[in-house]
Amino acid sequence: MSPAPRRGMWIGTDSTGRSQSVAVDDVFRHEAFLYAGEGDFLAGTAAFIREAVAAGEQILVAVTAAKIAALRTVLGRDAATVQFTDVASLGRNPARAIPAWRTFVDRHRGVGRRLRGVSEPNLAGRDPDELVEWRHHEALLNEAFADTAGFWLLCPYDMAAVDPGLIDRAHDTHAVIDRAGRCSPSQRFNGAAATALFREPLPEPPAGADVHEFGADELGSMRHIATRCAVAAGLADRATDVALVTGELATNSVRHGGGRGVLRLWRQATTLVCEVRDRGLVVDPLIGRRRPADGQVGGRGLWVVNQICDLLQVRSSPSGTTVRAHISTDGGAP
Amino acid sequence: MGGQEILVISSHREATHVVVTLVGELDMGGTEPLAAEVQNALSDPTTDALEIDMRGVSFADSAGLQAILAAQDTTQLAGVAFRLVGVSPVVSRVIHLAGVAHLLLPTAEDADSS
Repeated sequence: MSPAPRRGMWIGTDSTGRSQSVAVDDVFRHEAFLYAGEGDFLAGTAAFIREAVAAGEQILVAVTAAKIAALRTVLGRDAATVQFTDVASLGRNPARAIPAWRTFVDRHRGVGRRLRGVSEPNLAGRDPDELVEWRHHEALLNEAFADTAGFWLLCPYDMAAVDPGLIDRAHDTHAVIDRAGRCSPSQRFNGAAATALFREPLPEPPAGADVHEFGADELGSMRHIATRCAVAAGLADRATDVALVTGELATNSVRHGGGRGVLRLWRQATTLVCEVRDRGLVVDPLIGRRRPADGQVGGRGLWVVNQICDLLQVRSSPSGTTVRAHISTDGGAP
Repeated sequence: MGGQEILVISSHREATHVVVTLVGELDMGGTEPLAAEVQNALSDPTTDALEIDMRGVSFADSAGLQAILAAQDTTQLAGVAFRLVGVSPVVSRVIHLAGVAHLLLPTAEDADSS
């Protein structure tokens, strides 16, 4: 069994009402809401939102524009104090979600009240790499908000639409599972899942990838190779983004990864993948997901990359670091 | 990116005002040469303003911006006025993405409107 839910996470299993069943005020409560169909979604989410409104708690709801419209209709006047964000405005890269939640939490914490969030991305049509990274994001939330008492994040998963494997994995990353209003602690919850995922190697790059070794003197030529590759792959309008991403990743290898690295570029459906490997070790799985502080020297590279690319995969272990940025023909920074 | 890969740094002085001109691509390779150029300009005690002209910069990444921020810090700590001018849209975008617009662009906007 995975580590038990943290202190104060769970009181009793006999109650059906969310607010009575769980004491949340000394921990981050990360809850998966498994629903079937639109009606279920609206009923469960609206009840959660109404509880927040009634208690005078701040709540941010980050779902699709269609669901925002439906929730507004159901909530009526209760929607007035709810903050809604269209998930499309954050772009496709899940790495932009934690900084957005961090901004919300930092703005409202400290008033002595619970904070609530609802987070459901549009996962329709996402490729397997994107689903892996969404799961990784869910695990990283536990790291990012481990010490944020009173923050209750509800993550709706549509059992009729979302990949069953991803729903299964939600039991690892959410401490509480809510099925049709009945909450129970996840027996498989693992608060350290993010660290484990971060160390897992990515699948091998394809044999046909373009491979280039570089050191400090080759940063410019790596950018130019990447630019040409982007144009050849039909991403001429994102060639500057590809050059910037490549330069940032390669600079990290030069500065923090032993001074050298290997760049690989390949096309994958409508995406250009830009991968940099080096011998360095990254210990912080939240790298690139913390907004840089004003006086901070360095450390902005992966932050910038996350604002540009449509997916970023970072893995690191004592055998080295691999960073893979995906840039799509149909993506782009918001 | 049609720009020069190698960054070329030059400066000229008009009385107490020094303009450091950058041409090419600004990355981590620009850190030391830019710091040296700024140090040199500040070593003259009559210098009371230092301007970095970015018009010729076709590309900048976060390490390049770090070099500019370091130049700004060094200059202001010496009690000398600092201005950044000629920031192109491509460089301005990176400045915004890196989250340093509030540190670098107010100066540039003032300069643009003068």
